[in-house]
Amino acid sequence: MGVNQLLARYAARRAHVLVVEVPGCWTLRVAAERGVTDRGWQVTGTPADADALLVCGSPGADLIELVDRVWDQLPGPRVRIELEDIANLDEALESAAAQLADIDRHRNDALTRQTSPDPTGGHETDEHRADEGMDHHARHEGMDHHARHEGMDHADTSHAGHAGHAGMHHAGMDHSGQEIMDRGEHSSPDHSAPQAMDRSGHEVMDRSGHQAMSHGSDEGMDHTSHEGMDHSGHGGMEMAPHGIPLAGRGEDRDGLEMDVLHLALGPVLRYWPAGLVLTVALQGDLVVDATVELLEQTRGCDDGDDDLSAATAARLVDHAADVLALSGWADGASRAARVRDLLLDGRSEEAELALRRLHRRVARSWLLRWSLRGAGRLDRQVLDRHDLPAWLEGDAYDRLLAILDGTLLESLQDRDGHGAAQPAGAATAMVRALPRLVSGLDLAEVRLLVASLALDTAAVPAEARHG
Amino acid sequence: MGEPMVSGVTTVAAGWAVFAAVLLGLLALFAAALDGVATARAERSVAAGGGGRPGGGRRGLAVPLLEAARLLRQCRRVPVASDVLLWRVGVAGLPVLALLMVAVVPLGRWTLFDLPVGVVWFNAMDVAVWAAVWLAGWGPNSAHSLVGGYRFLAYGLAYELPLMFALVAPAVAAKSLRVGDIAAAQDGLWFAVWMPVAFLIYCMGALAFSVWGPFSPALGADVAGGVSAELSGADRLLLLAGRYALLAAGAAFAVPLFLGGGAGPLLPAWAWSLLKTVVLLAVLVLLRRRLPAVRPDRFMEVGWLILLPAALLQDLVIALVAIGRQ
Amino acid sequence: MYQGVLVMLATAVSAVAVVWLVHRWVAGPALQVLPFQSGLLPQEHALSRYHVRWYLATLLFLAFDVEMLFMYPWAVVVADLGASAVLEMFLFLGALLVAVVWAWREGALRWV
Repeated sequence: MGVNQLLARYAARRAHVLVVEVPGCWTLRVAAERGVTDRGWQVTGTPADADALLVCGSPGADLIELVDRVWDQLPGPRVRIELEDIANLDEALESAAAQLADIDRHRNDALTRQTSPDPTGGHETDEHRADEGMDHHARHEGMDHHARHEGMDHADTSHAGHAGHAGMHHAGMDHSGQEIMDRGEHSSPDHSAPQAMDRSGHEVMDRSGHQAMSHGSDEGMDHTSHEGMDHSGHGGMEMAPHGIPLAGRGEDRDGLEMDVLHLALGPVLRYWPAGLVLTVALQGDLVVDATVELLEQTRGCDDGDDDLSAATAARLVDHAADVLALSGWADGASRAARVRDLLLDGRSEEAELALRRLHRRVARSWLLRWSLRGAGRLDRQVLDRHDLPAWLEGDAYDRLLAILDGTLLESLQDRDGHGAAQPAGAATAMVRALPRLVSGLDLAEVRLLVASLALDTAAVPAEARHG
Repeated sequence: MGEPMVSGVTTVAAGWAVFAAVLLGLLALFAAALDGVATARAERSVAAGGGGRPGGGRRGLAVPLLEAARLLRQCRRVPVASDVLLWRVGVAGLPVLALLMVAVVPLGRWTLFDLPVGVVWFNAMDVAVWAAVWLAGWGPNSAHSLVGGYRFLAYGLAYELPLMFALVAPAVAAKSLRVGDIAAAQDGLWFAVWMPVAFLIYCMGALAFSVWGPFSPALGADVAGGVSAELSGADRLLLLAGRYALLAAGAAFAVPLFLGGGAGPLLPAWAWSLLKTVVLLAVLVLLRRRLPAVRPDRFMEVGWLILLPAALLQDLVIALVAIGRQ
Repeated sequence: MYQGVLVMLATAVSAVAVVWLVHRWVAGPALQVLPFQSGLLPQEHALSRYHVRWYLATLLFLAFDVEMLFMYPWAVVVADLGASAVLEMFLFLGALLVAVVWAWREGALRWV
């Protein structure tokens, strides 16, 4: 047995798994995370650290594109698991372990995968099937995806784009106009149209090269035009090394000119509501502007819980676990996760006891209180202005306590017999208000705020998603 | 070299550096295994009723070795347009700095590097950690890492001065910056006992320069791992190992400075040094899961308005006592 | 005297080199990727001028850091020099601390 084989055998005992929750598949995601930790594996929050990508549920076209891109970012040896049914969990993890230990498989993968990314949106994988891990690589071998668009090439490619894809291009233009209107307060004067067009043409060109790409939905296009349109207007092509522009500038609160970075939070992000995409404009780590988007609700999952109020309670505790994890208190987060698991297993008495104990610890921890105090504070006026539910008043610490002491659960139960999901109105209002709520906060606070909202994105009705 | 005795400490041949490095590696391994056990215990399955299965905490023991195997075969990934050189310098900087720190720490009666200003040397190394962590965050051209790197600098501004003034206190009492002298000056009474503020601030500093526990938001979950967000393979291994090594070096340096060095009954001096190091290291490791993060913006005021004056007062008291004993 | 630390440095650097070489041998060449942005494309390079909100604290830090240059030698001799050395040093530190309090009142230690 070679060194490689030996390392592989040990490594497969300790895989790190990046878990993606398809909107509506909360139960499946939680079960998957439990399965992962029960094996002695670890759930991770970044593709760089992941050996396996576990997709819970069947993603819609827009999410597939993003998941594919994350998949390209796994260093490998890598395994992709698409889980649609809890019943297959053990089997899926077992097979993932076997695949991780299979060194030939990864030698193949390393040889056939794209070794440099295409920053304009193309990615390696066109379609995936749960049980055909290797298949798409084989299908890809002939295609040449390597970054053809570096350096001065750009100009040529984009001209070709102009000529050949006028129709598509037009669509791109439309988006750009809309985008800029959407972001009234964020206008930067130097987004010159011709350059934006160049980039979008380039975009379209690249996509058409991909033939098999089936981004039927508008969302796919929307993202890419976002990219191309909004932030490419700074200087010539030499200002965009590797096809990515340099950071542009914007005024900060004091009127000083500062570099602005854009960072997408979600959907593939740990401790984050499923399907939520919050794109923040950052100066340093301070959010100066944000846009929000919800991914399309797909068929979702058959969560099939007979005990709905236990599931509601478990979801709430899971939000508390997110807040605790983001606050850096690892033991608190583990405890919350245990309460959640007990609730899901129907051991309500033990769960109640553990929950009370957790609540007491959280209420007593002066360090936690001091650290969370004032984080993501929402006062009455803000709540009224955005039609947000009254229980959100206060800071992340207040909301954490409200989740843990059961008042929130009761308020949900009152509304609707034995209590179910978050009311659609509240969830919609939260999502809509998010850009305003997060502006002016730093990244850490944004994360605490979002987690402490206990937002259930699945409760947002389809017609409210594009409003 | 076998230089004549200075302050009860003998400088050993330079070749022993390899042994010292291995020893620090073992301490780091111990720290990682302990953290593995604590994590496995906390995350044990509900269904197993608390450790009945082959899980429990025991499973955590092997974690560092399994992780090392995993990371050694994981490909290196480089985000587009990374500053690869600076990134590597930062990542490799952590274990290297930890090793340079322990060069001045005597093991019982033996030391490798009997520098007259050993305390300053240690201080210089721990400040260099700023550069290493920041470079590791800057290098990969990723917003998450960048935020993480700058977070660490913000902590640095707040913890470093109290740490420096805490390092001064034992030096004042021992009238020397030589680590061996400071250890020898504590006959009978550990400095940790009569300068507790300095000792506690020092421990906080050790947590902070190891990016550990309450001071880990530079690697925080809220920024997808921050400085470590884009690290894979050997680079990640070096960063994580470097962190444990720094924590171990911090614990090791506390022994001659505050915990009486190799002094103790029955056991030989080297064993006492090692034992004290292991105990302090275990405490520091176990703190991680128990404490929430101290957010850097909150900590700034604490560092300047509480810890810094506290450290200065401690120095004042020690200086007055030192004069009184004269 | 410096041999010990030089050998330590050499050991440390070679340990790092060995890890990198073994890794290169086991894991193969590096892979180029896009930075992680939750699945979305980066809109610009992250390497940029970062808005450090704690800029004022860095200035305070510099003042104190320079002070440390005096503090270390002072620590060695203070017990011999006696009360006057303590008085002088802590008057100086006191003056710096007044500056810290002033900066704090001006909001230099607050971030947002």
